[in-house]
Amino acid sequence: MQKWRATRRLLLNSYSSKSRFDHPRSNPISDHSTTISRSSSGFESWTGRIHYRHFATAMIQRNPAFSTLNSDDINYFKGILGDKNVIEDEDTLLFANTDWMRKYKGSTVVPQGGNTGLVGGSVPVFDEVIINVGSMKQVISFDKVSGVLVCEAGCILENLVSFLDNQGFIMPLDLGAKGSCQIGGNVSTNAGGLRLVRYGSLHGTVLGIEAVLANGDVLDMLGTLRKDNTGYDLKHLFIGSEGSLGIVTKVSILTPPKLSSVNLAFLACKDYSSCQKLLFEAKRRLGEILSAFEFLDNESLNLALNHLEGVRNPLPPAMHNFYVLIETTGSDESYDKEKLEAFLLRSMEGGLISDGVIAQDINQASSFWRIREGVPEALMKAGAVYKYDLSLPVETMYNLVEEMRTKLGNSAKVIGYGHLGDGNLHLNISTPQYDDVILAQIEPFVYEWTSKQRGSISAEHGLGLMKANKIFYSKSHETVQLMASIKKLMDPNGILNPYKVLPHSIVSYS
Amino acid sequence: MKIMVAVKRVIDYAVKIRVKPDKTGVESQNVKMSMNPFCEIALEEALRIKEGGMASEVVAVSMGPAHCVDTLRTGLAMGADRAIHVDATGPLYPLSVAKLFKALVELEKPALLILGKQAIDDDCNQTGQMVAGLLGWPQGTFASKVVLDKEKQLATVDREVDGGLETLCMDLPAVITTDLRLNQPRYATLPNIMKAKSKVIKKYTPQELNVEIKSDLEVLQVTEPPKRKAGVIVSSVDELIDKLKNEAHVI
Repeated sequence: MQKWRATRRLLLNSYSSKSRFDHPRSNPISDHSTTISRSSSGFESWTGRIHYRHFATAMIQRNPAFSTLNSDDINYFKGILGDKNVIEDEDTLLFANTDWMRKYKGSTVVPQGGNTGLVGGSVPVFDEVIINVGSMKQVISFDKVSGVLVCEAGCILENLVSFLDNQGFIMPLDLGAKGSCQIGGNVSTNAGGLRLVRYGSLHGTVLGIEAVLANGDVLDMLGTLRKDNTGYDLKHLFIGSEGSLGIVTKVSILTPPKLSSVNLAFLACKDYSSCQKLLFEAKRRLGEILSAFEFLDNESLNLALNHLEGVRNPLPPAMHNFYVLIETTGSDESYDKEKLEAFLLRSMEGGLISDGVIAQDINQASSFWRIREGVPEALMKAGAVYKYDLSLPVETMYNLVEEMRTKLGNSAKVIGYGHLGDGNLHLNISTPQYDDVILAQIEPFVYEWTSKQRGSISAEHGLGLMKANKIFYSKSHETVQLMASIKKLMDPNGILNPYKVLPHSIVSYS
Repeated sequence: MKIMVAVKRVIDYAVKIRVKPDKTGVESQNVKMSMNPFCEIALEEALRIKEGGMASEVVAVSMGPAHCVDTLRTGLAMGADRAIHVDATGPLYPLSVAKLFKALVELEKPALLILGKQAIDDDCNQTGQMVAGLLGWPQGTFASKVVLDKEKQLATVDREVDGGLETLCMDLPAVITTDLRLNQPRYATLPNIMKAKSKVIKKYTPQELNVEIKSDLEVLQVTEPPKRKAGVIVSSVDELIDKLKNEAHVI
């Protein structure tokens, strides 16, 4: 068996489920090199000037209230670390770990997890101190009866998956980036992923949180109860607020049992309306065993086929217009398979599906998932990419892709894929290089279009740095004002993840 | 010309194997079972030969408990014309399997018997060779390329051997066992899954084939391989050399 595995890996070099690709870091963020020099000799010359950094769509102005890194700071760190070094040993660092907030008064912090975010939420803008929780990676407890897992924020999602696998449980969320992303980051960004249609969002599965507030207080809300209606449920403030209200340090999360029977079908549909009808039918006929419903258009498949190694078209030779992945998870292999087959054959006879394959083993299932999960990676390899993660009514969702195609013509490749079951479209526009002319054609059109449909301009990626100023497309002025008041209350000096989440115009500090 | 293909039901290769606490074997309850990957390759090759007009029928054969029928259905959905299930409970070792195949070959009279070079569960790599011996047929094992000549009734087989490739030419009927590079198996499409539902699976018992299932082997115990130790990062070349010399004892 071992030998087979080794040879197989050698030959095909990426089929096993372990190799599901990490979400590539894709923030098109660039230093505005005319204003900032990174060389140490030019260091002094930064101070006393107004600084801007250019982050794809956002020009950020430095907040003068926050302190600036100076040469004393640099010398202090050089004294501890030498010219270039990283020290992780706790004992060695003991003397250096004083109250940093006091020492570096006026400085700001950026919490970082696995750095797999897609909107620049974990990217420091000016002189923020980076707080990386990667060393907090202990599982604190696991209750086999209730399925409640309590762990530290730095646990890598995939490690939790394998820990739970040994206990007979799974994580309620699954992402392409699971090999790098951390649970603290997942919670802070309210990551969605592939299983949301079955297990719901983290607002439902996270039962408790421990967070460190801006004033240094540790807020212990690490409950493990499913039901707790005592006062305001404040943990929700930390889920999806991207570290702007506090830094999540521990999480308790409800995990579903691992069910033995998983089936996956890769299907072709002739048009978008068939995909919708198929979703409608799948919810009724597969009911309790439906665990994922994903879609991609033929341009997405083409990209995956052209740019990813070892990926082949599951339905050759013809290209179809749309592809759908349906996954079922249940407890009875033969019953589930029969149910899925019967549903698919019926849908095929009814003309909703034009062709399809069912994975006969885990390896085949991994290679189907690889196509869907590999699309972001293929996009990175294809050149520059403009990414939009939108929640839209399922019915009109794909119209945006088509309108965008008409608008851009041959100048860019417009692709649409995503979590159809959750009404979440990933609209990605691929061009050989970044081009302001193209960007001007995309934005604000995409946002305005989404706003008109009462959709969300960020379904699961968050706002981070890149989309902070776009919040009004999805939220009313009053709502954003209340958010700003909460931010002001919890972080009066604005030191937590500055320049992110909320629009810069509304968050001002004296 | 008829081709017979062996397909074995094994624990899916992507499943993490757990040894039973009493060390009598591995845990197979509630574990995903699939077709042995080498058998998939064998079946794919048979189907390609048939699609190339060199064969008229592909018969898939599986041996073991009732659930083997699921694996045969997969084979039928890939494109096999019909299937045979030899219903046998209890452990089956390569020699018994080879004897059962001999009996089936005498009944079905295929011109070619294709098997995977080995099953990923027991890694025996014996059945193909044994059945060739019992039948007195030539054998091409570890095939990475198969070319048939219908007129001359010849099979040319490229074998993967240590030094490279060895090309054999042999008369049909023959036994071929498949290696990993031979082909990439197809997926089971919905139309073919639908068609497979009406295909015939014939059942035999070892008694009907006049084969007595017994073994001269006894499994004493099954244990896990030793766990790999975690790696260390050394801080200098000297430390590396020291560790290689004094801990790993390799230099």
